[in-house]
Parts: sequence; structure tokens; C-alpha cells
Amino acid sequence: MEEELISKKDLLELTGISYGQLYRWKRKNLLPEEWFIRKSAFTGQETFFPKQRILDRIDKILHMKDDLSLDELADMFSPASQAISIPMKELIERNIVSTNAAKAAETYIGKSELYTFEQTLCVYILDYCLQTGEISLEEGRTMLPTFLEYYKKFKEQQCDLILLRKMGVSVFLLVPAGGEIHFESGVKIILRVDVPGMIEQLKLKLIAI
Amino acid sequence: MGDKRNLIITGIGKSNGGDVHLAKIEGVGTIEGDVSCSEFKVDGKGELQGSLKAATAAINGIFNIRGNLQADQFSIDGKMTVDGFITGEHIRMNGMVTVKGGCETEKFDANGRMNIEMLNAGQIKLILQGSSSINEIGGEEIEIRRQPGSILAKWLKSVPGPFGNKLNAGVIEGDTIYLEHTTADIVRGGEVKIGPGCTIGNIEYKQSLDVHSSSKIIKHVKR
Repeated sequence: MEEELISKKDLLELTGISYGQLYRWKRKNLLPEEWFIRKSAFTGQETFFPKQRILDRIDKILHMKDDLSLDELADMFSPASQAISIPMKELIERNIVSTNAAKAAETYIGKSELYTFEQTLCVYILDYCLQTGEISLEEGRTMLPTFLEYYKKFKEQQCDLILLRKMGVSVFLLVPAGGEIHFESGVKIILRVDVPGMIEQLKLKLIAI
Repeated sequence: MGDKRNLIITGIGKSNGGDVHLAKIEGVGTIEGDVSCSEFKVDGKGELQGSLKAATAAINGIFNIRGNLQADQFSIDGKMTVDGFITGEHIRMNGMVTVKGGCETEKFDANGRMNIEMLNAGQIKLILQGSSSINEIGGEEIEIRRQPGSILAKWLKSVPGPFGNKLNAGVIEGDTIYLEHTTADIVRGGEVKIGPGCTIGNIEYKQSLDVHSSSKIIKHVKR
């Protein structure tokens, strides 16, 4: 997965932000350290960024910085789970998850009134997978316990959720984000869900009341 | 906070660290683990083999830290080596400081000899005494000056050698930049003002550029 890179110079020109702002956002952890790729160029050392991801992020920051403080924004972009609990009813009413997904999840998570952020994330991802139409509800049911049990083990490290299928048998995997994996022939990657991306989306939806 | 204990080393001593209210070394002390506290103080010589997390930290003397240092208000008068990173809100340094990782803070006030790999701060004020080296500097307001009117510095300058008050930097990037006696490969910024005694490889600026007659600029571009 070679990503297109953008130099710092071009990025500032394109987005119209200043060096000061960029450094400030980095200090506030709005931009992760891994995105700062230092390379030597003919003008000396230059910093590059993954183009699509940084442009998306800056766009979001610029749009939301009037409503939220930088610390609140940092909290939103961080892959750490928030310490919140949400009633499932509200999630369905606000169209964050579908009724189907919520029903399927109920058996595994339990019929509690309030969902923690992690549980909500789990339902949200299930919902997303179902919406893509790539997995059946049955498969979704096997995914839930896997995700719930092993997601925590990644802690700060981010992970991807992968669905494989070979000869009609489906397998779910959790792997470190962006990691490369190779399979024997006949194995098909049906879905690869970017979990940190989902966390960001979910946090965004939860904030927008 | 009231129920937390204090960690105090007076004279010569050792401790394992821990989560305390006040951690203080008076004399010579070694802490062999991490410390998390609301107030950290060294008067004398201290060594911390882990990382430090404190609301305020003040060092008077010599201090070495193997891990990272995180303190909202941090001040040092003396000599310090940090193997990891420093993060804080307001960092004040006076003396000779080496930071092998980076330094991130809102306000950075320093006077002396700084060897830092990467410095990222909202407001940077650095007064040079001796030869400093910072590989990457980034921030909103950057001001680097030489300690003015020191007779000793003038005398030292007449002797050739690695003396003199100067800064060696790789890249300096900021919104407003003022530099004196700085050698840098690249300076990029909005309003750039180059004072006396600088040698800069390449300047890229947005609004304005002002160069003192004694400074050498190899190339400059307005963008």
C-alpha cells in the first residue's frame, strides 16, 4: 500500500494554514507523530505527510475548531475509547446504528440499558459490515465475540478487522493497523475495516447532537 | 492529594520512585523507577532512571533523566540531560541542557547552551550563551538572541575555537522568526527577520524578509 505523499510546503499552500498552526496541532496531538515522515530532499530535510489522510484531518479540524476546543478535538481523534455510556435506544433513534445490528449484538453484549463506548463501537462496526452487504447476519454474530474479546488487547495500538473467506468458510481476524498480510491462493479478503477510522466516525456522530 | 506520601532524599540516598505528592532530592539522590507527583524538586544532584510526570518541577543543580519528562511548569538552573522527551506548558531553562528526544511546550524560555534534537513550542525565546545545537525548531513565535554585552563572550570570541555564542540548526519553521548568530540550513516562515551574525542556506518566507548586513544568506525565495 504505497500512499501518495505531500510535502509540508505544498500542504501549507494547499490548506492555507501556517507553520505555527501545524506545529500547534502536532503539540496538541491532533496530528499523529507517525504522519510526519522525514526524508532528505535536494533542499535539505523535508517533512512529508500521507496526502489523503492529512488533508481529511485538516479539513475536519478547520471545520470543527470553531465549535470545539483543541483538547476536545484531540480527544476525538485519539484512538483511545471515551469514558461514556449511551443508551441503546438513543443510538437507534439517532440513526447511528440500525435496529438489526442492535438486536444481533444484544445477545452477546447483554441487554443492558447503557452501552459503554467499546460496546457501542462493536455494534457500530457490525452495523457497518452489514451495510456493506458483504457479510450475513450469521457471520456478524461470530464477529462480535471475537471483536469484543480481542479488541482490548490492542490497547493504544490501532487495529484493522479483516474478514476472509475460502470455499465458503469465513474467518475474522484482528491485525495491527496497516500491517501487510499474505495468504495462500483461494483465500479472499472480503472486508478490511479500518478500526481507528471507525472510532473517529463514531466519535464524530456521538458529538453531533 | 492529601493522602499521598512524600518522597524526600536528604544527603545521599536512593529510592524506587512511585506515585507521591512531593518528590524532593536535597544532596545526591538516585531514583530507580518512574515518579509521578504534583511537585518535583532537586537541589543538588539527581538521577532518575525512569520517567517523570509532575505538575511542577524545579531543578537547581545537576539532573539526569533516562526516560521522559512531563511537567506543566518546569524550570532548571544548572545542567541537565534528558534521554527521552520533554513535554510541558511552560518550560524555563537556564544553563546547559541536552535533550536527546524532543521538546514540546507552549512556552519555551531558555538561556544558555541547549542541545536539543527537536523543539516544538508556541513561543520560543532562546538566549545563546555558548554553542547550542537544535536540529529542528518549529513554532509560532521564534526569537533567538545572543546574550548581550558579556565581556567574557567578547574575550572568548577573540580566541578561535568552538567558543562564542551561537546556534547550529537544521530547519527552523515558524510564523514570526527573529534570529541572531545562527547557522541554519533552512528557515521557513511568515515574517522572517535575520539579525547579525547568521549564515542561512535557504530562506522561504511569506510576508517579509529583513536581513542584517553582517549575515550571509545563500538563497531566499518569497512564496
